[in-house]
Amino acid sequence: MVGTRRASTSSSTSVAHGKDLIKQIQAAIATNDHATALERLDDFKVHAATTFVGNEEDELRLRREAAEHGVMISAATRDEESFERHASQAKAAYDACKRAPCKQPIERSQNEALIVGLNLLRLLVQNRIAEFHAELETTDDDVLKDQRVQAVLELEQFLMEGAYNKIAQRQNALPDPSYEYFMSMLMNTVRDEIASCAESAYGSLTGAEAMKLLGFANAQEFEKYANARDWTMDANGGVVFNEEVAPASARDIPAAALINQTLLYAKELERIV
Amino acid sequence: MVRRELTSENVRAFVGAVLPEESAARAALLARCETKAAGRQTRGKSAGTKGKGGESDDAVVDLSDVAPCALPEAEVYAYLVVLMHLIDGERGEDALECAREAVDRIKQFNRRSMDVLAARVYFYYSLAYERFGSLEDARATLLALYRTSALRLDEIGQETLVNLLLRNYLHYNLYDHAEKLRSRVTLPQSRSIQQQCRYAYYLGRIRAVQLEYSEAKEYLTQAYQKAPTGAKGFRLELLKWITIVRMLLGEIPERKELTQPEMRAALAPYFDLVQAVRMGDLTAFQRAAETHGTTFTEDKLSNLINRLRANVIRTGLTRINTAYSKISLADVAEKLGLPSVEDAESVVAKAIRDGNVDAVIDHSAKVMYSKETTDVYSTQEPQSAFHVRIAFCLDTHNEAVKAMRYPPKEKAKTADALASRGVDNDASGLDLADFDDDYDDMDFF
Repeated sequence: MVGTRRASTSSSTSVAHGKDLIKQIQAAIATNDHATALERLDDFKVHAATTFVGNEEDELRLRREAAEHGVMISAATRDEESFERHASQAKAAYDACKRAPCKQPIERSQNEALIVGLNLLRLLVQNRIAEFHAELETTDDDVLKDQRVQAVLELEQFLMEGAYNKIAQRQNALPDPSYEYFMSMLMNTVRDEIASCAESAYGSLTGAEAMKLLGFANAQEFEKYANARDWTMDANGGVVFNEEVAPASARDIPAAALINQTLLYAKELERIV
Repeated sequence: MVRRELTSENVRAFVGAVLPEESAARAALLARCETKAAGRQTRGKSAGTKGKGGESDDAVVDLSDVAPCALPEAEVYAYLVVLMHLIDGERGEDALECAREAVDRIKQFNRRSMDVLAARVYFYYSLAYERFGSLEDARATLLALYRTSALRLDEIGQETLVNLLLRNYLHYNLYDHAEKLRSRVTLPQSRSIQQQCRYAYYLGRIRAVQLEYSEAKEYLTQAYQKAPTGAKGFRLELLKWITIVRMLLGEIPERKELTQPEMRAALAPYFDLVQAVRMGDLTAFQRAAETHGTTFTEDKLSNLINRLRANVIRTGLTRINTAYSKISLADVAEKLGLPSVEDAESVVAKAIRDGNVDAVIDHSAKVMYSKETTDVYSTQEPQSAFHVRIAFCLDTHNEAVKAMRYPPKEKAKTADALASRGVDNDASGLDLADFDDDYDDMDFF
């Protein structure tokens, strides 16, 4: 009897201390002091690991909030590794909240869609498409319907279809400022994609057209990029992609490969007969 | 099937006759049959009037001279029969409790002769949780059981439990977990066709979600070919997955595959989808996806179907490209249902880069020119197609030769010693697997 009372009082003080730490983290984030925020976050994690009982509502909320802050800090400091870690912590925290053994289910976090969206965008940028889709399967429907997640899903669809121009348009209409970093990385990927498409789809392009297509603001940058890709420039600053291909000649016959194949058939046939 | 004709009286008589009086399980199992007698009686009676009831009455008489048997196998078998009966009778609470008791009881033994029975019990344990409880709760037990079976080289148990765990994870869409488990587990040389088939199905689903479509198709088709013709639900499920995966690969399933008489109604939504993809008609595709949205979500395929959008555009583009030698991008946008000319331009550019269409875009005139189709027979195409086919035939031949080899002789001999076999025996799985097949029909009753 006494024991349980002591446990409950100590857990309520530890929750209070946890709240304090979270407040400090928030304050640090507000002043853009990410290093301090990370330190406080570590303090919180240690505190949570040592004193929290496990599955009381307040504790779960605090853990969830801490993990969310962790994700946002890593997004702001552009640390992909720690982002990945924090995102999976946040996911675990959401899961724990969902199946908490309370009478009233714990309300969904306001930020859940944001965190999920960011994480999906990260997977997309890192070209981990398989994980992207696996993640999608485990995401709840009402989170999926959120604008912040939908935006990322559309980006993926545009990428798959090849509607690159739309991705560029989206860059100016991000659902949340924290998407900026990953979005700028995505833009670089997209530029490479556009360039490689242009190489095979167009015969030639004028300089101005090519710049517009690739989204370059000034000519120097464009020239540098064109040189990096080994593009042939004509006299007017245009780009020529498809040189005339020479007609096929006897030299194009892959003699060695053919001989190998035929020998293989002979060998296998011999085995059968 | 005897299983459908079973009444609780039969089961009770069976338990009473087979298990010795002093066994604790006997009392527990009898009590369980007892409580449900009231609810089940009516169904048992109606089955009796159909003429086959005579059989089950005979069974009761027969059982009266059966000597009780104290072997733990008999006890586990009795558990299995009761458990199955409870599940069929939809007596959820009882089934769950009975399943837990049975698993607890099995844990007390370490006998290789019990592996097959135990594997069956695990299966129904998981089924009971799936139908009457929540599968999540069974996960910890199943994992623990898997560890035990791996340590004891209980192959049939390992196989069954891996499949149950995969099912468990996929039930909650935890593709990540499932893949991690799958990649770390070393499966025994698989012997039971049923388990192999289930495994291929789960693996196919994982691969499909991971965008490994050709692998996914391979596994799913394998499962489809191995599935018994009687398992209609399973085959239907597989057919749905195969259809979607094939379309993602750019293949169009044939009409007759989707219009098999007994599956036609269930596959209708998929038929609409296939039509839309074949025509490359984006609006029809969207309409199909919307009208059948709930069906697709239930089948857990809606996310995969969203991915099909790009394929629809591709097909449409290919059709346009073959039909017109020169077409303005504005017309392309209109035909494909794309919102703007810029969209059409970059979509076409990507299709050209990926080799789906052979064309050139004139950027300033906003026109797409198809390249002249060259004579295929002047290229390497036919040669490589020929090679692929020959390689396939040779492979099939070699596989067939391999499959004709018989297992070494001394292993086959031990088959007679089935009952008295000791702790570890490599061949046990082989004949036990046959045993397992019979078991499905309960012939052994």
